[in-house]
Amino acid sequence: MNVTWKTLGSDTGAELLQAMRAPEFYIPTLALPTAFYFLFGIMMSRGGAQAAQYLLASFGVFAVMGPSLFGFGANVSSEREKGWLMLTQAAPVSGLSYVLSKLLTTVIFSAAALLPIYILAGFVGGVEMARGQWLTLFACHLLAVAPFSFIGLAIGFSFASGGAIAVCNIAFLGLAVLGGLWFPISLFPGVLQTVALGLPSYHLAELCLWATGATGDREPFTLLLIIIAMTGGLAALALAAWSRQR
Amino acid sequence: MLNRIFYRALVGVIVAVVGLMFILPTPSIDVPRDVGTPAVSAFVDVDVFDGSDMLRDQTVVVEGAKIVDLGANIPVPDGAEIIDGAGHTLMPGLIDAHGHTYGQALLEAPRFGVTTVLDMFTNPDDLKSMRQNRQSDRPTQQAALFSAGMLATAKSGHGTQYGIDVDTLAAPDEADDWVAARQAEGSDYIKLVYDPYSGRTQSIDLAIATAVISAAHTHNMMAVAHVTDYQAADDLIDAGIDGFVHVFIDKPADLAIVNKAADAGIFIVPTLTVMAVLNGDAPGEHWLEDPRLGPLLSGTQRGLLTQGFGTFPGIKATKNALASVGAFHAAGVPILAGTDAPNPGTAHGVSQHDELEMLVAAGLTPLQALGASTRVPAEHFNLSGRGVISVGARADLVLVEGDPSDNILATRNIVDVYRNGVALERSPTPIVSPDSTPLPSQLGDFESDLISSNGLPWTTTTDEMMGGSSAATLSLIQPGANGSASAAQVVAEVSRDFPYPWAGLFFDASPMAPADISAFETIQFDVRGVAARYRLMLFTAGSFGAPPTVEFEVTEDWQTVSLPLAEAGTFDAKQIAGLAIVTPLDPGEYTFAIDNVQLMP
Repeated sequence: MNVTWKTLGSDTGAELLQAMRAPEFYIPTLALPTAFYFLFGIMMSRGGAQAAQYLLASFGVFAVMGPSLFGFGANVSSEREKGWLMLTQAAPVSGLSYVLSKLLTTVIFSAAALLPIYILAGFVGGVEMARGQWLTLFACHLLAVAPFSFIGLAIGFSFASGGAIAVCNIAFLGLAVLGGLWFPISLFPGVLQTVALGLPSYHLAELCLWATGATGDREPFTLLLIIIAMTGGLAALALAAWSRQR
Repeated sequence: MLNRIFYRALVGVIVAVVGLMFILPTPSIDVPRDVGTPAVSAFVDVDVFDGSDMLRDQTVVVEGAKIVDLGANIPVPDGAEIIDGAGHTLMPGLIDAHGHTYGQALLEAPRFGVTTVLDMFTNPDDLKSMRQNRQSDRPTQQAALFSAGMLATAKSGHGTQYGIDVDTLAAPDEADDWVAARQAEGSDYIKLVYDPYSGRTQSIDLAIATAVISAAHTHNMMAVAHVTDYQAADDLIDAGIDGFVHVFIDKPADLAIVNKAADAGIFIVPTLTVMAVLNGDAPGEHWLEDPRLGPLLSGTQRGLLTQGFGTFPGIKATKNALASVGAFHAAGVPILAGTDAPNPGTAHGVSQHDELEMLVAAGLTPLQALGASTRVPAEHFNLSGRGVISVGARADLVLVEGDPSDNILATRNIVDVYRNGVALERSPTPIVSPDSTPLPSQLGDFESDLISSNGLPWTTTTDEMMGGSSAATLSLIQPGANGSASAAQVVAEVSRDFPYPWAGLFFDASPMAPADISAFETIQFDVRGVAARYRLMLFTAGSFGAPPTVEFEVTEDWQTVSLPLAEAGTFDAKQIAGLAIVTPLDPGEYTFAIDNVQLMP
């Protein structure tokens, strides 16, 4: 057990180091959501603190999506292509540690991506919430790592590295726009609203909106169940992609 | 080294997150106005209503949240802040013995002197946070809350129409578990709705009501009831009820029930204000122009005070209620002052002053009316340290100019309201951000889609969101009105599963923040459909209950309807959440079409 914890630490350290040396990873994942939130949630919004609070919920999900999709999708694919994945499978290291270290890195990056958005919301956008609400919202945002990481994994195991980046981008933008992370889905035509119901990004945003106490009827437990079910389905998809790779 | 990177990154992120969580802004509701307020203050030369009697020329010493000394010739402690009370009366903070703490109730009530609210049904999920501060001695802007939480009613019964998921009762053997669940949620007492004779809604039967009352008593809780008619009240006195939170209005009390109530030792919260609204009056409308308390009303409160129960037939509610209260009072049945705010025509805090005036009209002396709003409810609901001015009592106080024991209207001349010994900031809190988005004039031409000129959608709306089962579908039909290409058509089926059913189309004025229509006076649209009186409803952010509504006639032929927005009553035109055009209340099938919806200056 001790060895696993130690290897997990070094594996995660290596992942972090690699990520921090790759501006093509950390700039879009850290700076993009912050810049978008600043632009749409605060500067261009005419809805004041209420709109800033509403969009904090959805843009937070957007912020977590980047590290999860790209950290897993693009990375796993390129490591697979370079033979690194096969090496780790042959070497006496734990496969669990491989996935867990990536997961930990994603959680750390997601938290780092959320911080500037929360700071903007609280100190520029005028969002005021009870201490418990801030904490609940943060926990709900971090929960988004789970389903998106499995989507990333499935992509990483299914496509070559060039293709994986393209597919990740499509998934990234698709999940964001169609899931209502940039603007509420009530602005969409009916068909697209139905599409949103099938996306984890939509249900995560709803859960986060519940956490902020936004107006509207939201059942947190139902949403949580839907998210868990979707995560389970995506995990199965990622497993299938893993076993079918090459 | 890699391990070190990991631990540093992990610890760094955790520290940053935890640190941020503790400095992010929180709503500044509970911050005292002035941190430097002296801990000791003394009211001198003040007349005191102590909950029972008037004591003249008193000195009242407050230390922290408590009254520490009271008397005619007592010394004032060194360093105490002196408040000159000459010509003024100091009263205990008022208790509203029948309120519903939706929205901003606990912030709104104290501005008008109501420092304790006895809630008679609210969402139990909200109870915990609202109850938190009632035993605290810290300065607060909020009223103290005691609550029934969930109410006992039947499926589709009274209480189920407000959009709160109600745990209804179907059989007497469910009563014990039901009461236990309320106790676990934090209810302070049990409220039941017993209305089997009016025929307006479903009701629990006498067997269930009796079972709930005994279960409450088994769990050492008091049981109070909503009744509207004589027979229901008579039934429940036999069943062992502790009090009524309305006086019945179908007829005046007779000697039989008056004596029965007095012998049983029950109390009554008549809620005369809301009975006057049922009567078709607008008892609170005068507040809008009141120079003292009018400016303290929030937009939501102003809206509520001009509303009525539009769909109720006129009944002699006020006349019967006043006569009954007089008779019960004369027989020694305790009368408690409560408003039932925020029902239409009433608003938190301010309506308590109307209730006091009506209690005097019913036959209480001004002194007894003051007691009905302070000591009497505190005694019956076991609120120790509230409703009285005595050594050791909580310093929830109201300082008014004049002598309300002489003229009850003097309760309105409020100089200051104290909660836990600290004077409140008495200005209406803006409930939502004032910077709302103006709506364009053109809300829907329905020429190519169901979207407004500023890109906002029209959708269907039905009572399904309140547990009803009315249905509606929305589509574009050709041609539209006045030679236009198309119009929006609604095919609706209205069913009676919800007491106030509706189906129609809804304009989501602003999905993220409220919209501003204050630049417009009139709404105009073309309409045709199954002939009937249809309704236009306005929804405002942060309000509860029946929305401001205007009715209009529809015929089979296209016609242009122009409705002054002011006809819907007073509402905050800068806080519009949406508007709906819906069917009449009567069940049935309705097909109607709408075109060219425009706001006009």
